[in-house]
Amino acid sequence: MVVIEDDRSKDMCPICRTDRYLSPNMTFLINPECYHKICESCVDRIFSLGPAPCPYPNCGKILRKNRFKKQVFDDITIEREVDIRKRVTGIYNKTEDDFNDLKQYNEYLENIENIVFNLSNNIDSEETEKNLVEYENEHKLEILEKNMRESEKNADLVKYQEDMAKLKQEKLKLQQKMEQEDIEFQKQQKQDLLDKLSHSSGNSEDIIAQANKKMLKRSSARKRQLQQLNGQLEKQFGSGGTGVVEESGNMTPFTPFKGDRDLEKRYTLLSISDNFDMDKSDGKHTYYDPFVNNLAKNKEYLAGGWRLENVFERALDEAFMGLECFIDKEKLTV
Amino acid sequence: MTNDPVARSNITADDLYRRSTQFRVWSYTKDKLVETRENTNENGRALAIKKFNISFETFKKDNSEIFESHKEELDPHTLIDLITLDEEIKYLNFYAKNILEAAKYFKMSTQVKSTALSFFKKFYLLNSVMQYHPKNILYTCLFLAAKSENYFISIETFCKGLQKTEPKDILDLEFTVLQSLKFTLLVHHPFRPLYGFFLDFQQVLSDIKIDEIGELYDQAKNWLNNYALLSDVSFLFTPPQIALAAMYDTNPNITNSYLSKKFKKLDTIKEGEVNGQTDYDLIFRTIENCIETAKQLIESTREESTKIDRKCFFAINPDKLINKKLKKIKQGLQPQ
Repeated sequence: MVVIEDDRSKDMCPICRTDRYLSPNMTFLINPECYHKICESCVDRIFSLGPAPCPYPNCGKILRKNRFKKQVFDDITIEREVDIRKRVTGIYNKTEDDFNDLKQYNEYLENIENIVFNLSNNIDSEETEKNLVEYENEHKLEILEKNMRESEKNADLVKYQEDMAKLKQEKLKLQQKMEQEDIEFQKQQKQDLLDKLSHSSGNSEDIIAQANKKMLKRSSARKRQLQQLNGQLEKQFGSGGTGVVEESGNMTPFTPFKGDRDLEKRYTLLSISDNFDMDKSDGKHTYYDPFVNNLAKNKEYLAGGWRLENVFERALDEAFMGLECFIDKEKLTV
Repeated sequence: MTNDPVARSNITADDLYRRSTQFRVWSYTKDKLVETRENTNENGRALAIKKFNISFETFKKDNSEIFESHKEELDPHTLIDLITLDEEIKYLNFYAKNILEAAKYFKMSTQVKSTALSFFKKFYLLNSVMQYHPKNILYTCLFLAAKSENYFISIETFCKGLQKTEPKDILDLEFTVLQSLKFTLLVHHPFRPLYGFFLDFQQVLSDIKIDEIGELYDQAKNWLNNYALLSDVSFLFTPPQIALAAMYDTNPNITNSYLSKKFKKLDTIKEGEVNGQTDYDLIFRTIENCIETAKQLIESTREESTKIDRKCFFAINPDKLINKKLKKIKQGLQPQ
């Protein structure tokens, strides 16, 4: 009897009391906020118009429709733990490469395990939650960047681009926030200045000059700060991008001698100045050849990858290629 | 790798050159070059004699009476007149000059022209004119050189510019020429090394006016066109050596000061005082040799060439030679 009861309740929506017997196509959805089971038609009905409290008695959590999902695991506690784990590892997403030694990495993993355990078993859940959110806010950019690099590694181009866009957005937000702060600060300063002017008896010009100076100082400091931040992010990007190349790229070029090559040139290549002044024909600083130097001004040539220094280098290389092969001597011994 | 005469710890640009086909296949010592030419001439003669004998026998069979009555006039040994080595060299020189004219006509660059000449010379180093008549080989070489040096010209346009030449004449020979060249199409010319030295002179000899070096460069270029292209130097010397020879012959003063500044200095650093001058001396002697070889130009007059041309024609087509002689005898017989 109990078994039947249980089975029936399993297949019945507790809100509208429809059961599978009458409508065999019904599916149940859960929301990770409270993990209460509600049938799909109820979700449509209740949450279509926006967030609403959970219809279960004594629950009352505000739920959103887009958060509802199908239950994967039969056991709700497992379902919940998996969700929590997903979220926590999404925030604590460092890999072993990010640590100097295994011990640190293991401590990091242990920390993750603790958080997951606490959250899923409601032990100090508020405290843990608070810490988690704090950590996320503090390491937002780091996390995003890490995500991006991971997806790049997995050659998931679409995801990579998505992550990249996200990171850019975040950067922009940060910048905007700073600008906003600046504007507010300026307003504040203006107000201060006006107050000072109206109350103090000192020279008004002096006060204005002082205030201007202060403002300038601050804004330049701000600018520097912003630049530094941007530079840091760029660097992180850059290192992420080139790191892969450096690993795979062998710096030794291919030569017929298994990479062995002439590292000591028999000539010194003069440096080539960027501005080819035709009047400057002393030929002391660079090679003098009006014809070729003129070509270097031609954009069509340059666009095709033609470079003046390559011309000179090739000619000089060939000038010493075989200079000391004395055929009548060397061929005699063969 | 087996060609490496000296075991070096470091690979140099010279070793790179030793890897090129120009060094491995197409570089000869003086004696070896002469020997190869002699062999080629000998083979050509043997081939021509064989051909002659075959046609002689067939004619003899058909006209046995005349061959009996005019034994002396129709003696195979006096009848056959083959090209000697000297004649062959002169003859080829004459045709090589035609390459220059044809290249000029098609407005081809120096690069194409030099490559065509190089192909032509290499081909006749291994084949005799008594085997392949130079006229079509010459055009085939030019056509091939144009292709290998990225100066594209269609076979129709090419043949239109030439008299009495069909596309088939050239295309049929193309593979033969390629085979003789052993499919080595990359030729290193002395022109770029010359330009390289022109640049390096500017660096090493900073006290000499640029105009002087520029003039030296232009004259040396002409020297290469006049002497190096037609002579044997490309078989005997490397491109940088030829380039230096051209510079030395046009202006010994400047070139010598460059050489001593560059190589005497290098050697004292590299090998110490004992054999401090070996490199310089060797280069210097090689350059002098090169100039000497380049200047030994064979002059061939038009009359001489036409004479050899007739010989060549008959060597390739002995039928016509015997036929002509027979006709002459028959004509002599008629009035009697």
